[in-house]
Amino acid sequence: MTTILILAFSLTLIYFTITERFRTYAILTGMQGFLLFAISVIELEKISTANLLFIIAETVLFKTILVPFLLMRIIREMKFPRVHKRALPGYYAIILASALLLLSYITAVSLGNTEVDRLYLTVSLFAMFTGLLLIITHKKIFSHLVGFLVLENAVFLFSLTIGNEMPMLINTAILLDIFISVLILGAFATRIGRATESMESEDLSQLKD
Amino acid sequence: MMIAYFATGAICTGLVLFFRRKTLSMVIAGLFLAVQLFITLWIIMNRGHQVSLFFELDELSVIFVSILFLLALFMFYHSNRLLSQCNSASCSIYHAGFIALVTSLTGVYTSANLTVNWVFLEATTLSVAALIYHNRTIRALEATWKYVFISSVGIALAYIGILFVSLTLKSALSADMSFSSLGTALQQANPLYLKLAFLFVLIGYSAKMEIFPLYTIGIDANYVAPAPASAFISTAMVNAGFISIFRLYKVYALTPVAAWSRHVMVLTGVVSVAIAAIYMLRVKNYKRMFAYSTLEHMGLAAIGLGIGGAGIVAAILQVLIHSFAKSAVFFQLGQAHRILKTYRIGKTGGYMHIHPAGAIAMLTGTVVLTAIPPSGLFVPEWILFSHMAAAGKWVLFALVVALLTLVIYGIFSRILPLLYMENERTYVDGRYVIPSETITQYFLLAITIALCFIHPDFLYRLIYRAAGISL
Repeated sequence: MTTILILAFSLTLIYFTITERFRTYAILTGMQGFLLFAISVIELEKISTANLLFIIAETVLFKTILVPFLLMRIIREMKFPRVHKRALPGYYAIILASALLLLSYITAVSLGNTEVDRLYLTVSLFAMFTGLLLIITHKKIFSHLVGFLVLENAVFLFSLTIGNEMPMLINTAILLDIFISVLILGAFATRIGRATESMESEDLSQLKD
Repeated sequence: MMIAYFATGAICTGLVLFFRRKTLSMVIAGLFLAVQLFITLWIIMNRGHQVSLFFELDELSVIFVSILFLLALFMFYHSNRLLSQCNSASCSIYHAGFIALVTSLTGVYTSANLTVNWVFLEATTLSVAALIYHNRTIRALEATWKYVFISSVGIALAYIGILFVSLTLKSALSADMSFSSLGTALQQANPLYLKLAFLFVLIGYSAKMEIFPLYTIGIDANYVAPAPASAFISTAMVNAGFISIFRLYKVYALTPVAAWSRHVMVLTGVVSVAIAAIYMLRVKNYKRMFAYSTLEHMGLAAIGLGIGGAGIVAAILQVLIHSFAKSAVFFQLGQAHRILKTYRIGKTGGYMHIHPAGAIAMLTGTVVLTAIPPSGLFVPEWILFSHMAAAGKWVLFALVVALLTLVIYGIFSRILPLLYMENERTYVDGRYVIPSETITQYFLLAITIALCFIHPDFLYRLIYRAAGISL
């Protein structure tokens, strides 16, 4: 069952790289939150009830409901529905995404740790690369936000591999999620949207030498 | 005690944000400084003790918590003049950011656990953001956004590094993330995992230490933030990044990849100094120039760590003295900006005639930062280069000397015209020519010069112990 969920998670990552509609980004973010909730419930069997409840609350309330809600609100306020100034066309993006998936698999195999499921490691690394790809190749600040959220999900998925032994690490990863996401999503993204016309990273390039 | 201190910091921050009264926020920040003095003295008196599972009052924390108090005190003093023209809301947010930052930095300096250290370092992001965004301009928004976003990406990457460390611990059937036990636990660890962990943490924390590769956000933050905040960010904040990397570096000294991690530190340091040297030759803004100077000094500290042995002593001393010198220069830059109304190079001049007390502080600060005797920074650089020569690292020696020569040329070719050359575009606001304001700067600079001639036994003992070298 976990294998199916992790594969579904990797499919959402591929879809992230090819989609151009911001609403789809928000929906995919919610879907990833739900998949992480399901994986946590199955995988963290040895964890204490209190810790498990904390993780469930975070994945369901925060990742599945609150974050997509905030993203939708930003989309409505800014009135821009899609990526229109991509640094990378969709066709090349999917080739790059496939290459990153392959790279993640090769890296996971080379690391060869018997304590960690290779599938977990591959998809975590792929999520990290996808997040960085969204940040680097897109010009809209909204895409950068989504890239960061995907990167956070990569951290969360990775932390699940050692969650039974070190629940503190998962709780800390959750703190990272809540603390930074709310700050970035709630405060600065909205302010930047109001201050700039198109919410593009090029609008914020006054600071130069 | 530490928990009570953090709770006090959180309460003071909350009170300032809740009431949002200008005078009250200033009073609370002042009272918090008294608490900070108390915790500093308590840490000094309890040196060498592990006060809880997560905090240890070792030599490194004693040195840097003491500096933190001094820097916080001077920042508070210089900020009050700045805040006298602000409304209640922005004044309160500034003080809240200040209190939260000092509290988080104390946590970073004293944490004895890799994860706890990371949590406090993450907490600094929000408080620094509050200080950078103080002026509420589009540039402030840009710098704040970049700082928060890139810091967060860096912090997330550093966390992936910590997860790699924990995976190796899982193989060793250990779950203890404290710095003291990590070294032993990681002795038999998979070298590939250790290397990945080190790279991820170094890249992530480079945003905080202002070294290559994520140094850019520090430059923008120092440029946009009010001068007293810049003074604090480029010293106390940068020191937190240094300590976090140094603690991991000490752990790695016991692992099979110790030599490799040292090479990485040298490479990071050299690239940082090279970037600083190149940009200091083309920079058009005084504040950005001194921000690049921070990159140069932190690069030298990274080289010191990479060389090891006496190089570590040089690195700690470099960071320590740099804190005094850089804060003095940024405080003076803030004063100069209020008088001259610009930070642009070539748009002003004749500062020596306009405000001699400030100009002498600026000139002294520049001499000190370029490590020319009688600068205290001459001592760590002398140790560093002597150690390089003794180890036969002549290529590195020559490369760093060449880069520092460019830095010295870059900095003086911009500062001397500001001080001595008359510029017809110079605008002067005489209301802010207040010589007494420079007293704190002279005090800080006097410390740096004194440290060139006087080598206090207690200080060097602390530094050698922090470096792990027995006297």
